[in-house]
Amino acid sequence: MKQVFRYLRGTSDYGLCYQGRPRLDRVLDIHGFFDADWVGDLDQRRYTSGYVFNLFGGAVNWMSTKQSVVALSTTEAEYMATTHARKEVVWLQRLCSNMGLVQGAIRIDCDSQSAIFLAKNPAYHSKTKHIDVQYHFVRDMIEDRKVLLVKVDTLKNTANALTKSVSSEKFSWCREEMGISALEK
Amino acid sequence: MDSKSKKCIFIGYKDGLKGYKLWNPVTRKVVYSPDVVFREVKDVIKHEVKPKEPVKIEFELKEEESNSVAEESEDEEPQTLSVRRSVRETRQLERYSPSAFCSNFSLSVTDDDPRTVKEAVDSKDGKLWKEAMVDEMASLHKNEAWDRVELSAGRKRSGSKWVLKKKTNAEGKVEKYKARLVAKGYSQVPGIDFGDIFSPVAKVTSIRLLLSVVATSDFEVEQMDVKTTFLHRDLEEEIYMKQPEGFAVKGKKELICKLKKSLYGLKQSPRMWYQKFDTFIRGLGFTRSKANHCVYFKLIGDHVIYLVLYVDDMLLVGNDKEIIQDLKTQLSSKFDMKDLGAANYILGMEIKRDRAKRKLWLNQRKYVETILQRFNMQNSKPVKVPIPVGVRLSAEQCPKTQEEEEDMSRVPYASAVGSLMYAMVCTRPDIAHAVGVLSRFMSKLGRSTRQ
Repeated sequence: MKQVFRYLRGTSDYGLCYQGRPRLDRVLDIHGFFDADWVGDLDQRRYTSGYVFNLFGGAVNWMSTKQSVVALSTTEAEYMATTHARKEVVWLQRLCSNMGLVQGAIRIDCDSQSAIFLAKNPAYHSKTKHIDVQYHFVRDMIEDRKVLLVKVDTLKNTANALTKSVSSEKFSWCREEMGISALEK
Repeated sequence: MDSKSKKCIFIGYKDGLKGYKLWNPVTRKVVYSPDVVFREVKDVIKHEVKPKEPVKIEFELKEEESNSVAEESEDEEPQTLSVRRSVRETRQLERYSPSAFCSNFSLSVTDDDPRTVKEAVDSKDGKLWKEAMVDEMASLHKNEAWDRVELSAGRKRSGSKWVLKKKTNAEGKVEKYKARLVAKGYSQVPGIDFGDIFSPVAKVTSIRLLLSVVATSDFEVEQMDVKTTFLHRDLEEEIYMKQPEGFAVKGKKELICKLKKSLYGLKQSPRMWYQKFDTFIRGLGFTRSKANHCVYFKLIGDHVIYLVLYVDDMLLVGNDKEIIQDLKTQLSSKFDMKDLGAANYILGMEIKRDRAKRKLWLNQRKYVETILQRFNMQNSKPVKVPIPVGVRLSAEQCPKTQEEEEDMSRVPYASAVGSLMYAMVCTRPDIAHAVGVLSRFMSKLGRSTRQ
């Protein structure tokens, strides 16, 4: 805890920064990242999931939580984490359209190839049959083209800093990607 | 009662012990004993409570209301239960004080705001506080917030309290002394004194989303604030309140106020204000967002205007200054509004813009500095990451013995995590993971967690 305060002490004037120009008026381009840490919690062996949605160079929405179920594999953790990001996508899309803004399919980057395959291919599989119905919600959304799942290198996943402790270089890179910077004088 | 028995107050039970946990007010110690004869609560308390001396406060009023407002008042506290509570509070503060983690931690919002009217009037800013209170009373009278009536039998009356606060701006300078009369809503009974009480507020995400659009599309952002927000709505229920401290009518102290408008502190106030505003703004042709009920928008030809409501603060966003100005006039004609001009400070977030570069910064510098100070960390050595690699916390490191537990209970951990959480939710996704990890140990804090 003291560490967090000490971190804030060094970065007290850091904040979110939005910049750039939209390609067209009232057209948004929200870009999401998500990540899961399989057994981040030592006591209950539950996974931690996190996501961040960027818009115009700055994060607009983010979350980092310990989840309420135990995942049996990393694939499963990542797959279930997509669901949480996905629920947020639904809300964000509704918010944008309610505000008269145009937002097409939201692209979400994920560093787990297997989770992407699982989401795209609705085959029944012995290794995945125990995954609960709610987590298959993502498949519907992919078929409806509301969401694009894209594979990204772990090194380029902004949501990494939301699920695990990372090295300081990686951390400052993630921070920059989320649009957090010191105030320009 | 036997001659050897002692009068104590029952406070609870202890795991693993047969008997009761009792507090001895004479020795000021907690004792455990199975050998207890219970007596009525009122009876026990009577023995130790000495009624407080009434506090005299004099207000000089130059407003026209001065004839209805009197100069003397009575401290409303000498109720048996509240005196007992105050004893417990001081004990807690003593316990907190030797804490190494935060020696100047205090439960109040800012350290130098007075807690009672007496404290305020005696302080060096006494005159300013008095002015603020007179101001508030004048506004209440103008809005005809209540009638003074005699209490009819069988109806409960709730108390009232002055909340005094120094309002500061983004740089931390005192802008204004603010006094607010609030009703003690906690004594309201559901079903009789209030019905539904929920009311929506804007999500920070919607505000951020809108601000990012503002930055890139070069929109105007203006801010407005509603004065005495909750007074705008007529009450449906019958609620009675004691006369405010310092402003009781001379010679008629037994009179009480029958509220006509919803006052701050009442449970239904926020909901009633929201309903009124919602009806009004939708009457102007605005559409309410289904995803967030506090976001409204309206298209006028090529122009668009958004309104985000956060209780009494509102952001007006649009690409045409005239349309915003029109809306402001319309709002001001209906409500008592204050125009704050271009938005630069909302919900503790500072908004800075560089319109030429189409950049917008959102930060909480002042808030972060305040919490660093509150938890006595303002001189700590800065580090690069909030959680170092390889640090893993688990229930293993939790305190196991009672001494360890007591040692840890001196740290205001929950409130520190809460303060961090607010920064995280508003503008700092970079500490999200760290705060998430820390908040898992809220109930079982260990020494390593504190580090």
